Amino acid sequence: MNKQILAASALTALLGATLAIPALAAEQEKCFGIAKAGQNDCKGNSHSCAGQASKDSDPKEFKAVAAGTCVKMGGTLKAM
Amino acid sequence: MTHTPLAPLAGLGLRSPHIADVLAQRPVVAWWEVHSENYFGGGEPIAALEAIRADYPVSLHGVGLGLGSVDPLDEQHLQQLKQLVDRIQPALVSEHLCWNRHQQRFFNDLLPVPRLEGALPLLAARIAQVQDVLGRQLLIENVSSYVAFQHEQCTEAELLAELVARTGCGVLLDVNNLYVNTLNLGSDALAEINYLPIGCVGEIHVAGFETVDGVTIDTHGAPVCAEVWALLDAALQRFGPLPVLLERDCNLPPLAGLLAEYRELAAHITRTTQPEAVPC
Amino acid sequence: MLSYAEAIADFAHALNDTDHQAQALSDASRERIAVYRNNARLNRIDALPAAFPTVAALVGDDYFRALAREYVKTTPALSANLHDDGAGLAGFIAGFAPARDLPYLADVARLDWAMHRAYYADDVAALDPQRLAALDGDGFMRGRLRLHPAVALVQSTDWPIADILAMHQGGPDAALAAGGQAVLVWRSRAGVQHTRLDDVHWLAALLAGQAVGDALALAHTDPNPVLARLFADGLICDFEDTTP
Repeated sequence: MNKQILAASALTALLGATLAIPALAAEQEKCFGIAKAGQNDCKGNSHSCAGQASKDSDPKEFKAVAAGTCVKMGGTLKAM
Repeated sequence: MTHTPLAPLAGLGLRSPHIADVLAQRPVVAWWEVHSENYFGGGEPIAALEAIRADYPVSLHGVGLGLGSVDPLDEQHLQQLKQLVDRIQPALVSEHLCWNRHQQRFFNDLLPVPRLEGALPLLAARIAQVQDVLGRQLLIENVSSYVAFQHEQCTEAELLAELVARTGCGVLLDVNNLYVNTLNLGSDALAEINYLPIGCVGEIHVAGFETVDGVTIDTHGAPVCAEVWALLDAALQRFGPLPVLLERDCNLPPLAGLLAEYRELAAHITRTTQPEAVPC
Repeated sequence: MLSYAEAIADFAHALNDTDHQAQALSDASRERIAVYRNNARLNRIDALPAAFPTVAALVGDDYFRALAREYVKTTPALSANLHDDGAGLAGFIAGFAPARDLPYLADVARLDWAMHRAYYADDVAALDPQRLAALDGDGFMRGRLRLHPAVALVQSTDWPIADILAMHQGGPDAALAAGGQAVLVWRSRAGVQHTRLDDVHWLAALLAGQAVGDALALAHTDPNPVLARLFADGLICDFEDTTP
């Protein structure tokens, strides 16, 4: 695209965007309904909720089979 | 918004699944404590905490500074904590007496410090560094431990008392952790309480534990047991009225259930610290 | 008798190497170091699904947990904050032989990670519009824009990552044959946002710190709606005026 026209129009677009922000934006009530879980809560203890605290239960081989939504896209693909 | 010291009342650990409910219901809770690291950075988490802070005192409880690591303190972590403290103006700031890093590699847990030659100068220097950066007193919490070091030279209470004397820090006394250590390591919880100088404790924690494969694990996943209530009473008798926090992290009940446990703690504190007048 | 530093080194050695017996620990409690080994590992494994919800949904819980276990085993944690863990997962997946039959997984992981980082990104004040109002078109073109740390552009050469993300938010099943796509991630007052973007080179150049004019010259379609949106959401944080 033409650089001159583009730069001028981009600047106009940006400045126009500031006008588009509602004046009361800062006073809008914020929604906290979709908060992610704080992952630092269970430090030192989450494991034992699952009863896995004191034993090493580390499988040596990776044997898991992908069984989630990837199946809807045809599952696994041939190794590339 | 400047911080004020906490009243000697019951407080409640605030976990993210409850934040929306707390903001909507504004339950009667004297103060909340959150894990500092969950509010590092910006966006929604800290905005929610600011909204809560507008109505309640807040205590910031860190799980990641790892004061006892031989590696230098993580400068970025410390700066993030400072930004959080400056923004929230908490009533209290606390960390654990633990380490979590060795040769730049982090272990995401609260690892017990060996009470051996070299512990005091290192820990005192780190606490002083944090207090300098934050510009305020830090409370240090005794931890649950599942292992004991060979040839330890002092008890945890003796180490904490000396750190208080050297740095002016305070103690966050977790009576559940004391009891867990009694079960796992045979330490004497009452003796630890009675060794700590009067005036050094700024906050008490109570929580519940669970036993897994024969080891008592400090899960914060069960109600407070009778022995821990008794240790709380002993601590309140020795140190006088203090803010007491109920911590619950695992098996988190809905807010209403947690508030019921909170009111039980509040009633217990009232009974212990304000016994009914007895006619003489 | 060990010193403090020696005891910690011995403890750390035993955490890293299950064959190492920590002599620093009492005979009665030495075996219990397994509690800490597990805590340190499982705290990370348990935290990862929240940072990678699309990857976890694609492969299912059991597979994701097994994948997270392998990642944690081979990748030391670089922060005490569990929200920071996972920066290397996409790269790990790309090189992980058992995941080779899910060749799009690494790119989806990069997208999940960008959205996770956008959620926790620092708050940075938006640029004062007066700074731009004082410029003419040439001055604007020569300068550089600094965007908010929540803004990220995730591009996949071969895979329809926008469609895959949409599929996990109630959209139709993605068709892998659709080919490569790019997603713009940002944060507004309403939370983390994302949109598919087909004309990306100009924005990649802008994000990389190229002069505004040089970046916009790469656009094949009108870049103004995207720019205006970024500005309206307070994501343009600074303008570096390079006029001599």
